[in-house]
Amino acid sequence: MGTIAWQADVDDWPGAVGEIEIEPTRTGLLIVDMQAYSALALHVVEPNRRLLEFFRRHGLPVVYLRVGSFLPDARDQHAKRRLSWLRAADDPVPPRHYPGSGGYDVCAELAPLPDEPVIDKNSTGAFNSSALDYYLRALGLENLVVTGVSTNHCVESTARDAADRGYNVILVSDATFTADPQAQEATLYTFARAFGAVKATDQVMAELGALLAGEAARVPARGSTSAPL
Amino acid sequence: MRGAVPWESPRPGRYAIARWEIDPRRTALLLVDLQEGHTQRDLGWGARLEASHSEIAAYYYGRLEATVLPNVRRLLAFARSEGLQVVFTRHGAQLPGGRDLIPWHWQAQRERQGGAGLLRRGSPEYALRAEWAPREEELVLDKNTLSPFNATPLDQCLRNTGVENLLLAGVLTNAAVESTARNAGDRGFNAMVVEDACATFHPYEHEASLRLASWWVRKTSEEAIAEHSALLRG
Repeated sequence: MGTIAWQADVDDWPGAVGEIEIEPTRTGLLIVDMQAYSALALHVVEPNRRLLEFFRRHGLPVVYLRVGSFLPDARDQHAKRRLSWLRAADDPVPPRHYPGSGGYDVCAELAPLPDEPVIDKNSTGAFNSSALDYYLRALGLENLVVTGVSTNHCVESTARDAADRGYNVILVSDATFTADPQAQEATLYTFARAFGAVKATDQVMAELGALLAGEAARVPARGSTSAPL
Repeated sequence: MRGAVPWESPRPGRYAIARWEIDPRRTALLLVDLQEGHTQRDLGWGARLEASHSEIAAYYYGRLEATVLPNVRRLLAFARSEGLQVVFTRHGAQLPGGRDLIPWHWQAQRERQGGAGLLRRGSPEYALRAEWAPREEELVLDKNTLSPFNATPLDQCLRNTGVENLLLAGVLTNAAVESTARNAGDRGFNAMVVEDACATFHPYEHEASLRLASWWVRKTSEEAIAEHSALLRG
């Protein structure tokens, strides 16, 4: 266990918590909708790649989400979503993205490994249409580092619901992206007050790295011969 | 009865659903966390806000008293007179020590720090504002999360009672109300946040929350009532 700064910089929201105690080995990386078809995803590939590498290096779980419809004609989406999701003003018909369609996979730079769950959803918030909670609990996760696109839609809805379910959620300010800078700012502002912590990629790696190093020094990893005894 | 109501505002470059057809008899009024401890200056949040964040207290209670509560009264009277389903949520710890809150959650932290912000079920602060006086046929749902979709039978109750549309009002706009609206819209309900019947701690957050609505829309209480009245008379 170790303490991590939480809402330390927030002084204008009653009930903000300066720091919380977490078990750093129970932290997972949740990468939201970083799919090849998404132009937004291109903006934050690099910070996501760095976080991915950090989590894999420390043997911490990585979970991916993909958004689309389950069926090619999107019958499984709710009516308004089926009509307007990702649709530009001049699109005669809405675009369709579903498992197997072009660009639906996670972008190549962040390609999942075989033991990393990839979870499909047909809604904005992952908890509304997937078994995400079941996976997170099965993986023993208590803390989530959340990245991806788009910040104020899929990322925020999923992160809000994760916080509601008791996960300690860190939203990564520079590993999330949305087209409207004001929307990015509004999401980070509210999230840092009512839901969890907001940190930059470097800060996440430094703080989590320090906690994990402390943990490794105290408790030898199982099967490890190099850990101090 | 069924008819179209104005829906999304135009967004640059994006397809917008300008009007959306609803059945007004299938609308429920969902009043989020309008408890004594969230709406009285001297109870719950009130006692603490005045001491620690007097500017927030001035804005929040000023808006509640001048705008939000009168509009909620109008909405509630309208829903009752039209026989629309009314649902209240109450937020707080369900057990006296707050053990039902997930231990590492920020609220539990607040509890351990002796904060007065956490309402406990059974306390006077936790009760709904006395003036709402829920009726037998109205739902009162207790929750220890912000969104009732995450920890109450709300979804089940709405679907079983045939509700398709939600008028949402309450506190706080960008926290419990927005999370509820996001979940409702995402699950296919026609979610309408009644903007002048909601409040939060800062005007910026209130406006940002409403401006960025996605899968839910904003209405004024006047619009919500007028649109429903017209369809119900039609």
